[in-house]
Amino acid sequence: MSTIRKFFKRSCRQVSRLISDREERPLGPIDRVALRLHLKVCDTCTRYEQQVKFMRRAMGSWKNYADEE
Amino acid sequence: MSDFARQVEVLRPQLLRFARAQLRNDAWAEDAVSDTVLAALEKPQSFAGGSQLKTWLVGILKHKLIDQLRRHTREIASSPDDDSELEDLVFVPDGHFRDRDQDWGNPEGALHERQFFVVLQACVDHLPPTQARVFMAREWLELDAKEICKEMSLSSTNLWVLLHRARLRLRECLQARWFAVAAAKD
Repeated sequence: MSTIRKFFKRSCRQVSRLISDREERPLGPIDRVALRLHLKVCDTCTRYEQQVKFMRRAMGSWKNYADEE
Repeated sequence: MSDFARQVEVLRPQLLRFARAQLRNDAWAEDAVSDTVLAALEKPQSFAGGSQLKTWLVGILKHKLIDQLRRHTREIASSPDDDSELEDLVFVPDGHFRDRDQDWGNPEGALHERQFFVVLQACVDHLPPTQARVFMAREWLELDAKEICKEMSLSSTNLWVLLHRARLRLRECLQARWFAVAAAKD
Protein backbone atom coordinates (compact mmCIF):
# COMPACT_ATOMS: atom_id res chain seq x y z
CA MET A 1 0.00 0.00 0.00
CA SER A 2 1.36 3.38 -0.92
CA THR A 3 2.31 5.80 1.81
CA ILE A 4 -0.39 8.19 0.63
CA ARG A 5 -3.04 5.45 0.81
CA LYS A 6 -1.89 4.55 4.28
CA PHE A 7 -2.04 8.18 5.35
CA PHE A 8 -5.70 8.43 4.34
CA LYS A 9 -6.77 4.97 5.48
CA ARG A 10 -9.55 4.90 8.08
CA SER A 11 -11.48 2.06 9.71
CA CYS A 12 -15.28 1.84 9.56
CA ARG A 13 -15.27 2.72 13.23
CA GLN A 14 -13.49 6.00 12.47
CA VAL A 15 -15.51 6.67 9.35
CA SER A 16 -18.85 6.20 11.13
CA ARG A 17 -17.84 9.04 13.44
CA LEU A 18 -16.95 11.25 10.46
CA ILE A 19 -20.32 10.47 8.85
CA SER A 20 -22.11 11.62 11.99
CA ASP A 21 -19.84 14.63 12.56
CA ARG A 22 -20.36 15.83 9.01
CA GLU A 23 -23.99 16.54 9.92
CA GLU A 24 -22.73 18.83 12.72
CA ARG A 25 -19.58 20.55 11.52
CA PRO A 26 -17.53 21.04 8.36
CA LEU A 27 -14.88 18.32 8.17
CA GLY A 28 -11.24 19.25 7.69
CA PRO A 29 -9.63 18.67 4.28
CA ILE A 30 -7.79 15.50 5.30
CA ASP A 31 -10.91 13.96 6.84
CA ARG A 32 -12.90 14.81 3.72
CA VAL A 33 -10.48 12.96 1.45
CA ALA A 34 -10.21 10.04 3.88
CA LEU A 35 -14.00 9.76 4.05
CA ARG A 36 -14.40 9.86 0.28
CA LEU A 37 -11.73 7.24 -0.33
CA HIS A 38 -13.27 4.94 2.27
CA LEU A 39 -16.83 5.29 0.95
CA LYS A 40 -15.63 4.39 -2.55
CA VAL A 41 -14.69 0.92 -1.41
CA CYS A 42 -16.96 0.24 1.57
CA ASP A 43 -20.61 -0.75 1.07
CA THR A 44 -21.37 -0.95 4.78
CA CYS A 45 -20.29 2.63 5.45
CA THR A 46 -22.05 3.84 2.29
CA ARG A 47 -25.21 2.26 3.67
CA TYR A 48 -24.53 3.78 7.09
CA GLU A 49 -24.23 7.19 5.48
CA GLN A 50 -27.70 6.70 3.97
CA GLN A 51 -29.06 5.31 7.23
CA VAL A 52 -27.91 8.41 9.14
CA LYS A 53 -29.65 10.66 6.63
CA PHE A 54 -32.76 8.50 6.71
CA MET A 55 -32.92 8.64 10.51
CA ARG A 56 -32.77 12.42 10.34
CA ARG A 57 -35.67 12.50 7.86
CA ALA A 58 -37.58 10.00 9.98
CA MET A 59 -37.30 12.22 13.06
CA GLY A 60 -38.65 15.14 11.04
CA SER A 61 -41.52 13.04 9.71
CA TRP A 62 -42.34 11.70 13.16
CA LYS A 63 -43.24 15.19 14.26
CA ASN A 64 -45.24 15.97 11.13
CA TYR A 65 -46.89 12.59 11.11
CA ALA A 66 -47.97 12.95 14.70
CA ASP A 67 -49.25 16.42 13.82
CA GLU A 68 -51.70 14.85 11.42
CA GLU A 69 -53.22 12.31 13.78
CA MET B 1 -64.77 23.69 30.50
CA SER B 2 -64.74 25.67 27.29
CA ASP B 3 -64.63 23.94 23.97
CA PHE B 4 -61.13 25.25 23.44
CA ALA B 5 -59.93 23.93 26.80
CA ARG B 6 -61.40 20.54 25.98
CA GLN B 7 -59.60 20.38 22.65
CA VAL B 8 -56.33 21.27 24.37
CA GLU B 9 -56.89 18.58 27.03
CA VAL B 10 -57.42 15.94 24.38
CA LEU B 11 -53.93 16.62 23.05
CA ARG B 12 -52.23 16.48 26.45
CA PRO B 13 -51.19 12.79 26.23
CA GLN B 14 -49.47 13.38 22.90
CA LEU B 15 -47.64 16.40 24.25
CA LEU B 16 -46.58 14.35 27.24
CA ARG B 17 -45.14 11.64 25.00
CA PHE B 18 -42.92 14.16 23.26
CA ALA B 19 -41.97 15.84 26.55
CA ARG B 20 -40.98 12.51 28.10
CA ALA B 21 -38.92 11.54 25.07
CA GLN B 22 -37.10 14.89 25.21
CA LEU B 23 -36.57 15.23 28.96
CA ARG B 24 -36.43 11.63 30.15
CA ASN B 25 -37.91 12.66 33.47
CA ASP B 26 -41.63 12.31 34.20
CA ALA B 27 -41.88 15.21 36.66
CA TRP B 28 -40.10 17.66 34.32
CA ALA B 29 -42.24 16.44 31.44
CA GLU B 30 -45.43 17.03 33.45
CA ASP B 31 -44.23 20.54 34.29
CA ALA B 32 -43.40 21.36 30.67
CA VAL B 33 -46.81 20.13 29.48
CA SER B 34 -48.70 21.93 32.27
CA ASP B 35 -46.87 25.16 31.43
CA THR B 36 -47.79 24.62 27.79
CA VAL B 37 -51.46 24.01 28.51
CA LEU B 38 -51.60 27.04 30.84
CA ALA B 39 -49.96 29.29 28.29
CA ALA B 40 -52.42 28.06 25.66
CA LEU B 41 -55.47 28.59 27.86
CA GLU B 42 -54.31 32.05 28.88
CA LYS B 43 -53.93 33.18 25.30
CA PRO B 44 -56.46 31.32 23.17
CA GLN B 45 -56.70 34.40 20.96
CA SER B 46 -53.08 33.91 19.83
CA PHE B 47 -54.11 30.59 18.25
CA ALA B 48 -54.83 31.85 14.77
CA GLY B 49 -56.84 28.78 13.93
CA GLY B 50 -55.17 28.61 10.55
CA SER B 51 -52.59 26.10 11.67
CA GLN B 52 -53.65 22.96 13.46
CA LEU B 53 -54.11 23.23 17.18
CA LYS B 54 -51.54 20.55 17.80
CA THR B 55 -48.89 22.23 15.65
CA TRP B 56 -49.47 25.41 17.63
CA LEU B 57 -49.23 23.58 20.97
CA VAL B 58 -46.08 21.75 19.91
CA GLY B 59 -44.59 25.16 19.09
CA ILE B 60 -45.28 26.32 22.66
CA LEU B 61 -44.11 23.02 24.10
CA LYS B 62 -40.71 23.40 22.42
CA HIS B 63 -40.04 26.58 24.40
CA LYS B 64 -41.18 24.96 27.63
CA LEU B 65 -38.93 21.96 27.00
CA ILE B 66 -35.94 24.24 26.50
CA ASP B 67 -36.89 25.99 29.77
CA GLN B 68 -36.84 22.65 31.54
CA LEU B 69 -33.49 21.64 30.06
CA ARG B 70 -32.09 24.97 31.20
CA ARG B 71 -33.55 24.63 34.68
CA HIS B 72 -32.11 21.16 35.17
CA THR B 73 -28.74 21.59 33.48
CA ARG B 74 -26.82 20.67 36.58
CA GLU B 75 -28.79 17.48 37.27
CA ILE B 76 -28.46 16.43 33.66
CA ALA B 77 -24.72 17.08 33.62
CA SER B 78 -24.20 15.23 36.91
CA SER B 79 -25.36 11.88 35.53
CA PRO B 80 -23.65 11.32 32.19
CA ASP B 81 -24.38 8.11 30.27
CA ASP B 82 -21.98 5.27 30.79
CA ASP B 83 -21.85 4.08 27.22
CA SER B 84 -18.14 3.71 26.56
CA GLU B 85 -18.51 0.08 25.52
CA LEU B 86 -21.03 0.71 22.77
CA GLU B 87 -18.43 0.98 20.02
CA ASP B 88 -16.81 -2.28 21.09
CA LEU B 89 -20.21 -3.91 20.59
CA VAL B 90 -20.96 -2.33 17.21
CA PHE B 91 -17.47 -2.81 15.78
CA VAL B 92 -15.10 -5.77 15.76
CA PRO B 93 -11.52 -5.19 16.94
CA ASP B 94 -10.18 -4.51 13.43
CA GLY B 95 -12.63 -1.58 13.13
CA HIS B 96 -15.23 -3.12 10.80
CA PHE B 97 -18.93 -3.05 11.59
CA ARG B 98 -19.81 -6.32 13.31
CA ASP B 99 -23.00 -6.57 11.33
CA ARG B 100 -22.12 -5.62 7.76
CA ASP B 101 -25.37 -6.61 6.12
CA GLN B 102 -27.88 -4.11 7.40
CA ASP B 103 -29.38 -3.27 4.04
CA TRP B 104 -32.46 -1.10 4.50
CA GLY B 105 -33.11 -1.06 0.78
CA ASN B 106 -35.37 1.87 0.04
CA PRO B 107 -36.54 2.79 3.55
CA GLU B 108 -38.80 5.71 2.58
CA GLY B 109 -41.90 3.51 2.59
CA ALA B 110 -41.56 3.16 6.35
CA LEU B 111 -42.32 6.87 6.71
CA HIS B 112 -45.90 6.18 5.60
CA GLU B 113 -46.50 3.51 8.19
CA ARG B 114 -47.91 4.48 11.54
CA GLN B 115 -46.33 1.47 13.21
CA PHE B 116 -42.87 2.61 12.12
CA PHE B 117 -43.17 5.72 14.27
CA VAL B 118 -44.19 3.62 17.26
CA VAL B 119 -40.97 1.66 16.77
CA LEU B 120 -38.94 4.84 16.22
CA GLN B 121 -40.23 6.29 19.47
CA ALA B 122 -39.51 3.05 21.32
CA CYS B 123 -35.95 3.14 19.96
CA VAL B 124 -35.45 6.78 21.03
CA ASP B 125 -36.88 5.95 24.47
CA HIS B 126 -34.39 3.13 24.64
CA LEU B 127 -31.34 5.39 24.26
CA PRO B 128 -29.34 6.26 27.38
CA PRO B 129 -30.85 9.48 28.83
CA THR B 130 -28.22 12.03 27.82
CA GLN B 131 -27.97 10.65 24.30
CA ALA B 132 -31.74 10.79 24.02
CA ARG B 133 -31.92 14.40 25.22
CA VAL B 134 -29.19 15.52 22.88
CA PHE B 135 -30.57 13.60 19.92
CA MET B 136 -34.12 14.88 20.50
CA ALA B 137 -32.83 18.43 20.96
CA ARG B 138 -31.00 18.15 17.65
CA GLU B 139 -33.57 16.32 15.54
CA TRP B 140 -36.88 17.10 17.20
CA LEU B 141 -36.43 20.54 18.75
CA GLU B 142 -34.17 21.27 15.78
CA LEU B 143 -31.69 23.26 17.81
CA ASP B 144 -28.28 23.72 16.27
CA ALA B 145 -25.15 22.35 17.89
CA LYS B 146 -24.19 25.67 19.44
CA GLU B 147 -27.58 26.09 21.16
CA ILE B 148 -27.54 22.54 22.51
CA CYS B 149 -24.03 23.00 23.94
CA LYS B 150 -25.15 26.19 25.62
CA GLU B 151 -28.44 24.89 27.04
CA MET B 152 -26.96 21.62 28.24
CA SER B 153 -23.48 22.82 29.21
CA LEU B 154 -21.69 20.45 26.87
CA SER B 155 -18.48 20.87 24.90
CA SER B 156 -18.77 20.48 21.13
CA THR B 157 -16.70 17.31 21.19
CA ASN B 158 -18.91 15.90 23.88
CA LEU B 159 -22.00 16.68 21.83
CA TRP B 160 -20.57 15.06 18.69
CA VAL B 161 -19.73 11.87 20.58
CA LEU B 162 -23.25 11.73 22.05
CA LEU B 163 -24.92 12.22 18.66
CA HIS B 164 -22.61 9.65 17.08
CA ARG B 165 -23.48 7.06 19.74
CA ALA B 166 -27.19 7.84 19.52
CA ARG B 167 -27.07 7.27 15.75
CA LEU B 168 -25.19 3.99 16.11
CA ARG B 169 -27.71 2.81 18.68
CA LEU B 170 -30.73 3.89 16.66
CA ARG B 171 -29.39 2.07 13.63
CA GLU B 172 -29.04 -1.13 15.65
CA CYS B 173 -32.50 -0.73 17.16
CA LEU B 174 -34.30 0.12 13.90
CA GLN B 175 -32.55 -2.78 12.22
CA ALA B 176 -33.61 -5.24 14.93
CA ARG B 177 -37.15 -3.98 15.45
CA TRP B 178 -38.18 -2.85 12.01
CA PHE B 179 -36.00 -3.59 9.00
CA ALA B 180 -35.02 -7.16 9.96
CA VAL B 181 -38.68 -7.86 10.77
CA ALA B 182 -39.84 -6.40 7.45
CA ALA B 183 -37.21 -8.41 5.57
CA ALA B 184 -38.37 -11.61 7.28
CA LYS B 185 -41.94 -10.92 6.14
CA ASP B 186 -40.99 -10.51 2.47
